Amino acid sequence: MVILREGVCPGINEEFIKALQSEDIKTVEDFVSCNPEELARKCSLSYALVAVRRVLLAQYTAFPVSGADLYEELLSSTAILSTGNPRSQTYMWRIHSIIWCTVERFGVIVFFFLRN
Amino acid sequence: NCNYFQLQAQTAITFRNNSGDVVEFHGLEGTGKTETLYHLMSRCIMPVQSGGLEVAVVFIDTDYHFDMLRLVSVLEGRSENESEERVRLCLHRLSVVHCNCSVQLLLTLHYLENTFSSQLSLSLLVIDSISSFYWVDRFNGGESTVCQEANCLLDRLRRNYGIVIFATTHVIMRNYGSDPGVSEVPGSSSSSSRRWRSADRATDFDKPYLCKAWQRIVTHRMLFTKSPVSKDHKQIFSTACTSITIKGVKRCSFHVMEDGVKFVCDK
Repeated sequence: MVILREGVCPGINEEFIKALQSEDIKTVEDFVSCNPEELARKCSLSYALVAVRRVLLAQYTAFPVSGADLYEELLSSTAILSTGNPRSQTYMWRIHSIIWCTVERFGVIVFFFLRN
Repeated sequence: NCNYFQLQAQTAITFRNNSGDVVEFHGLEGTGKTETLYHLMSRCIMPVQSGGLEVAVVFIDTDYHFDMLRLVSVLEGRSENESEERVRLCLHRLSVVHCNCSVQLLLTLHYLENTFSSQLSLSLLVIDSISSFYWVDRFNGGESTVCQEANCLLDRLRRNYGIVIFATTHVIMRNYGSDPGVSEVPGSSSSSSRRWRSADRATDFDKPYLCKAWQRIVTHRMLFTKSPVSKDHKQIFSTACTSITIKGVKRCSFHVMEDGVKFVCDK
């Protein structure tokens, strides 16, 4: 819950906050959920609140990443290391297990493939 | 019948002009919900020549367990002899968003509304899972307005843009007081939970618990279970689907293989 205050985003001043509070809008989510045209009319605010809405959305939303970019990033930051376990000749089944561990210092995601 | 998923996904997704469906995947951990999502997503993003629908998908990950490598294995398994370039082209149709609280989810849905209106190929929204913040929101004061707003927004998205929404929900409540064979559960207060009671034996873990706004917009509900018996050393998963448009319960079984979900046709 993000409370609307002066300085949360450029373009929000005290007058703006007071006008919104008169319509019972105290948080960013209340502000974003309202129809901007209707709000501009009710609070007698300029249409600049559409720009403010866009800036707030850009600040607080999670950014969508393209699947291809995510895949590239994963490939470039992954190393596959063999644990050296010899494949067993006697048994016909294999156990695959993937363990994720992040080495924070080097920022490398390491996969261990264990095969029996 | 065993191709029910594919048929249902196809009829729901190809017509962007109609009001889209909202499908809920409900089940315990490890019952194949996310695997089925990968199966459906791969079908959506693959090109038409490979048997796909060539539509764009937005995947909202609230559990932070999206496995890109698993999705790529499923894509490679389904499209034989496809080059890596083709796989990358498919992945361009997928957008992944990570959300860490219900406020961020609500704001992200508002942000995505513009994307849905401008990008006409965007037809599927997947939320895995929509129940991640349930206890946090409960702690913050019951059925919060954020949840209701988010669900109203989802409803608006599907009505105005014909988006199909798939969402998974975790099992966090047990049906104490459900009796196999009894269709009306005594003491069940909300009519919405009665609405989703399966036609026959209810499992212990199918109690709907999300807010009423969500229950109102769901059109199909799929209950995932893991069968205790296995066939040829392969674990059998099954799903029972109830819908507001179709009477009765549709059932389907599948195995999870290295290259994705394989349906078992036993009817």
